[in-house]
Amino acid sequence: MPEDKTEQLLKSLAVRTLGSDADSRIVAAVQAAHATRPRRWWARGIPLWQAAAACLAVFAVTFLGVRASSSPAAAPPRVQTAPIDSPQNEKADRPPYYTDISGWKVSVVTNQGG
Amino acid sequence: MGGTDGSTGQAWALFYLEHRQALAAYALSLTGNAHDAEDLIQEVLVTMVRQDRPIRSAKPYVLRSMRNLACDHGRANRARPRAATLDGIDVACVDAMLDDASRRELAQAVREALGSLEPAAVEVIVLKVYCDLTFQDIASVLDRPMGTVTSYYARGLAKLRTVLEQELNYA
Repeated sequence: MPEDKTEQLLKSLAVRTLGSDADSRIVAAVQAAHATRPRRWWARGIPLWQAAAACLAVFAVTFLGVRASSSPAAAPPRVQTAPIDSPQNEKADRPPYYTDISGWKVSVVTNQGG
Repeated sequence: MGGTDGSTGQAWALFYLEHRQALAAYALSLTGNAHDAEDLIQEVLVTMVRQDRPIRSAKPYVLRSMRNLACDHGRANRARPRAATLDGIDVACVDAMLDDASRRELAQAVREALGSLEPAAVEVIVLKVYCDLTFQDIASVLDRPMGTVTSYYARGLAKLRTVLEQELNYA
């Protein structure tokens, strides 16, 4: 956009400033802010080896903690479930065949006669 | 630019001294008086230093921060949401206290003519003429499309020309 006469007129007018006292106060405030600003940890002169050692220590503690909590001794007992097979003579065209085994007695037969 | 060697405070102080006219013009437009304008500039620059902001191409960012802060503080007549038009934009940045009587009269006429424009146009004109920003930077400061900004500027200048022609027989 070419600069027209009105724009030139506006630019030719004086613009108010805040004055040298205000300038000094602002500059002083800015420099003071730099002195009192919260510094990042890497700007505090902490040696690199100390930062690395701290990271390693945190990693080691975390790793050992996770490993201890996942060991078998610490694991809760698991409930074991066993499937009950259906009778072998059950066929698809018959109704299911149930056998009440609550009254049965179990005896162990050993072949002592050889 | 990092803030590790004590250069940031000095760099921002130099930034202020280099751009003080633009910062003062916009701050005066936002606040309407020198005291609040000084507070506004100081608060924004101190925040920049504390946050270790990079100083490269910082002028639009600083001006936008000033605008947001002025909105937050309700310094422009009443609090407004961010990126809204400031109805309270002032033309206090145009100095009518010149030594030469004819220049003083001209400055007063321009102030009155600017005051007759819509606030958004005044803000764009102040940012373009007195803060020396590009239209792209103005769009980023105002958070508006560049087409809208250029339209405000063209309409504002056209109306300003008409008003000045009527008042000063300026052609």
